[in-house]
Amino acid sequence: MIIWLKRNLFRSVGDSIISVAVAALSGWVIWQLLQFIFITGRWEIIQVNLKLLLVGRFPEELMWMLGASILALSFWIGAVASSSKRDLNNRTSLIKTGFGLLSRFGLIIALGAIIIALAGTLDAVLLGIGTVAAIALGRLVGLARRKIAVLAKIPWLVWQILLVALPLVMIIQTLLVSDLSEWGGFLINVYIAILSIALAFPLGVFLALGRRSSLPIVRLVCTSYIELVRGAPLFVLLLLAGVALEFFIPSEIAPGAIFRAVTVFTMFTAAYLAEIIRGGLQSISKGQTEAGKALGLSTVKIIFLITLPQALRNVIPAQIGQFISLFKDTTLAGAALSMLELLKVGEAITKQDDYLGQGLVYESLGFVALLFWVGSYVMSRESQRLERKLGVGIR
Amino acid sequence: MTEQAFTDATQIKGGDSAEPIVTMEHVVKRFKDFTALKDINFRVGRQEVVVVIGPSGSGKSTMIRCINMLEEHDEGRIVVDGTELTRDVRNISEIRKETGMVFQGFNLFPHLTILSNISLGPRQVRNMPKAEAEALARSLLERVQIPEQADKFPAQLSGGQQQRVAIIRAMMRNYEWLILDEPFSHLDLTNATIAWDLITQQAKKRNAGIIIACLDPYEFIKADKIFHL
Repeated sequence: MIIWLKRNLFRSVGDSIISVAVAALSGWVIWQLLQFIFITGRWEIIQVNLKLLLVGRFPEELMWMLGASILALSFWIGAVASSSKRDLNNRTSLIKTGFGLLSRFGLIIALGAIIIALAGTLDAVLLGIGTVAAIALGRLVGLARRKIAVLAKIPWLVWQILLVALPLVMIIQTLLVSDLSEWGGFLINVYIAILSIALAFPLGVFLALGRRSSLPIVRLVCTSYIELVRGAPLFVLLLLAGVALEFFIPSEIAPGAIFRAVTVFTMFTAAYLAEIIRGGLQSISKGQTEAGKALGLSTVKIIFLITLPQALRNVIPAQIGQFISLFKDTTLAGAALSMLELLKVGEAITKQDDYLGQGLVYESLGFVALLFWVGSYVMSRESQRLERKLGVGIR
Repeated sequence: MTEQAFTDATQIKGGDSAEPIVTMEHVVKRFKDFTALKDINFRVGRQEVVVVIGPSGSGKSTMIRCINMLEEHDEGRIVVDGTELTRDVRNISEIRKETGMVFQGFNLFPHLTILSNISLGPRQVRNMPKAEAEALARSLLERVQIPEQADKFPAQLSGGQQQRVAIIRAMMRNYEWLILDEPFSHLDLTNATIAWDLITQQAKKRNAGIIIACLDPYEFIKADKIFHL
């Protein structure tokens, strides 16, 4: 330990001075931060407005549906995660497993605990316990498929559809019953981000393929689309989406703000994604296509079985970076389309009568930043896991 | 001096083929200003083993790649199994269906296991059931003495092992003729002989012709014809 310190921090007089200075500075910053979090910070503003921050003006009587959706999603994640091809006989010790879980999900668990503590209601505690139970149940169901012969006979695709049906039905039901314009807070950010990612990904793939197409018209259309959308600032596109539709459609039947936001985010992200994926496709050697041709595969099969899987795998970091950027950019929708998303709510609550002019913007923006940071960091971590699993750089 | 030192093929062994399956007449291939192939005349018959030798850069690969249209020739005629090669998409895929090819650089698919690499062709092109294709793949891997590599990925194999996988991948095809581009470059003599025995045995079964490009003729290849580029 002492040798390590000497070698790494105090090798020379200059090193020692820098080490001490940096240590003092970071110590001071951490001290200030801890003081703010535990002593001076007035977190009641978050506590009181927690529901507003998380779900906006979502109707109280429908909150149970939201909870049920979260439980169904947790169940699905648990079931899908356990259906991977891990060796069942390769048992690791309980402590090791626990540590692994903690390092992977610790951040989410901690955030969940903070939110439950802030909410301080029985419902929140129950939802927390229910989420853990739903994940465990999902894992059990996933495990059952591999242990019980009858379940193992169900084709893979049918099984996946069965699993995803429950959360999907639940979410669609929630969407149908509640008025989308009453959604708000973090829920809106997550909803827009997930929907836009799901839509932008396939669109991006097809734009990338289109730009490399041998048909001049397809190439021209895709290239113009990409260059046009990439050249415009996202904020301008969002502002345009807010007003431009009224040119063509009467405002009574024009789609709502969320629909417009999702459309813009999808179009914008797809254009960037297309260039990322095109870069990936260019990294695949010509020999791969030739080998596919020599095997007698059709052009479509060569793309979807050989070049595209490799290309997508090679550009995972850049793709996830784009998704993280999209997730955080959803805050722009608040300013451009006056949507009550997390940042907008975070700002608004500091102007409530009880808190006006008390400088509580640190607490409120701190909480907003925390939610986004946890979301982005989890995405980044999971992408690294995915990279390792798919063996980028190794094969 | 021009850059066209080795461009026409000289036959140095064997006579003419009575029933040619691949015919090249006055074939010319250019890459921009560089003429890679000049006036190639070449015939391969059914069940024949034809060796194309020549130093590196002499155009061996280019010549045999013209046969399944991985390269398009600029002049002359190439007739394969009675069809002349043109840019018509349908006849390209017909020709490719009947060709087995081993690439100089193997061109294995790095994202698929060895087993998937080998069984992909028959499963996707001939709709062979997965179990059947994989059983066949495993039996062929056994023949070239690398059955234990089946579930690994190409990057985890040595060059020689990858080359044998590439050979087997071509063997799985319903080929009428085989094109082998330096197929033994990474193999020792023992393993090359084993691989060659497998190739000839399978070719005989299918009544197929074999075209091999290599730097020097191997002793164990009993060539019916040898061309020098």
